[in-house]
Amino acid sequence: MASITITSPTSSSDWERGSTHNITWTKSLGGLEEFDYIELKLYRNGTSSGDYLSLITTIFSESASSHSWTIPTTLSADTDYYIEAKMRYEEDMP
Amino acid sequence: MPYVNDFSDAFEISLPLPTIRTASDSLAVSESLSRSVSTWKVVESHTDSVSTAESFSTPSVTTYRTTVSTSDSVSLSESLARSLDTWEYIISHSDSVATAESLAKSTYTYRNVETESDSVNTSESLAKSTYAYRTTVSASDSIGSSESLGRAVETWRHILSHSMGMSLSESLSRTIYTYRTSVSSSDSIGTSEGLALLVETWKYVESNSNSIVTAESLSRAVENWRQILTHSDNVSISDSFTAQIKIDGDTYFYDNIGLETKSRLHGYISNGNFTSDLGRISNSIGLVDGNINSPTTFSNTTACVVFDLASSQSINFLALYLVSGSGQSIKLYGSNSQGSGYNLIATASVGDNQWIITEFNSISYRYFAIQLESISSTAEVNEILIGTSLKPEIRYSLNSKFHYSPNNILSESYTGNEYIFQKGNSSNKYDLKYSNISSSLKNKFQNLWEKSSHKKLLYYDNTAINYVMLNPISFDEIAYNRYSTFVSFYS
Repeated sequence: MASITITSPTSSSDWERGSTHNITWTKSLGGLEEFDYIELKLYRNGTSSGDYLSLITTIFSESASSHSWTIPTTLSADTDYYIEAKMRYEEDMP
Repeated sequence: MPYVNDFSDAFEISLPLPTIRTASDSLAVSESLSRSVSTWKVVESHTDSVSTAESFSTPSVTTYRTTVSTSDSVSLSESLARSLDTWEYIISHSDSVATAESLAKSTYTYRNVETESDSVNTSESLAKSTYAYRTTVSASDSIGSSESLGRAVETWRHILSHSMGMSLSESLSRTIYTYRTSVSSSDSIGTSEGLALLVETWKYVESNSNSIVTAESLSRAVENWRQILTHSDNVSISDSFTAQIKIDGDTYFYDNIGLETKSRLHGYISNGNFTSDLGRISNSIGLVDGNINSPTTFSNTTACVVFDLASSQSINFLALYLVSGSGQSIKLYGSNSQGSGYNLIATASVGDNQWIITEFNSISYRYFAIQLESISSTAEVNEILIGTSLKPEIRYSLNSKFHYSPNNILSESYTGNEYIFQKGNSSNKYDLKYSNISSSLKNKFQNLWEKSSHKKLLYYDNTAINYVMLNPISFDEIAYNRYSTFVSFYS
């Protein structure tokens, strides 16, 4: 079964507003399965749909393992931010 | 298609550090510290690319520790605290300003006083103050910021304390103290005020002008010394510093109590009590007869000569001349009662065939006793000198004379044969000119002559002790209450 794991940020990451950092991940395709793109999403205070803030980016590259992200200055300072990495297929596109 | 997605761990998004450049009197302590770190980056490192953490933890604090405190053992936090205190004392002239306020005011002071402009920003004004020192006082632009700061502190030591042997902090402390007691004749002004007045004094009194800035007045003070005291403009600034460092050393040690005319008692002192015993001493006048070849003999295991001064008088040194017997233990006691209450004043250092001077804090007694202890059979002391030392506040002028006289004459017989005769002993002669002295120093020289007109004294020229005879001293008044004189003597 295909899987994706975020390696950065971690629980010790402290990213300043306005600064630029790499979001990194690793993939395991587990056989012949393929995927079409990756979504990176930002959550705050939890990981349920009600905590979703915004889509960070969509990446159409099987080989990509990182994305450079400039933290928006409109975000509030908090210690409870999450990033979701999701493998998607064309049929999932809106 | 099956897949497993992932959420990251919870992570933090924080506010960036603020960039603060403005000067304000209402700063908090933490804010002012932030500014001082920023200032260091610009002024000391000449670059803004060093990180905040690096400039705070290492170079700026290290610079203070090694330059101003001359010690690497003070902790980072302590040295930072001290540097802020220094600003408070020296620049703000007040002990009551808060840390943050003093930092802000110190920069503000420079902008208004030194640059006569309020338009330069904080970091620029600090940079300019360091530059002013480099180009004005050191006459060189090639030394770095930290070095120039170090030299500025050194300058105080060279010019004002005339000594390189003391620490930076001690020299600064002594400089201020000297001003308070010597120049202002008052000890009631505070430390910060004393330092400020010191610089102001030169501007008003020496330069007759109030329009020159502080840095310029310091420069002119150095120039003044070169041209007036050395009569030359050829010595370099560093040489002139060196010359001024050597303004010390010459000291006159003389008998101001007339020891040779005082009553003498023979005996010994034990447990502070004097017991008379004439047999233990012979030829006691030999101690004070001005002749180093007529010794006084001490016998028994312990023996002393007590001098009765008739009234309490003050002394601060004991000088001894022994031909042999440097292994003896020789002590000076004092008391205000003939038979009891003798206190040990000093244990003399002794050497053979030379004068040895032992100095101590000034002390007053009526009875002074020279006692030899642990004598094996007999021991001899050739001459002693007890009294007061005179160390002139200023050095003699550079055109003073030192000359050796062999005391020979050349005679020719009627038939043309030449003969050289020695009329007397050869001698060294000293003619020390003091061009401009105070009435206080004049009185001290006058007392020196009155007490020593008939008796040899000791002159220490910073390298050797000379047993010399003084010539009469006269004084010329060159201005109101200012005098010039020659102090002339020979050995």
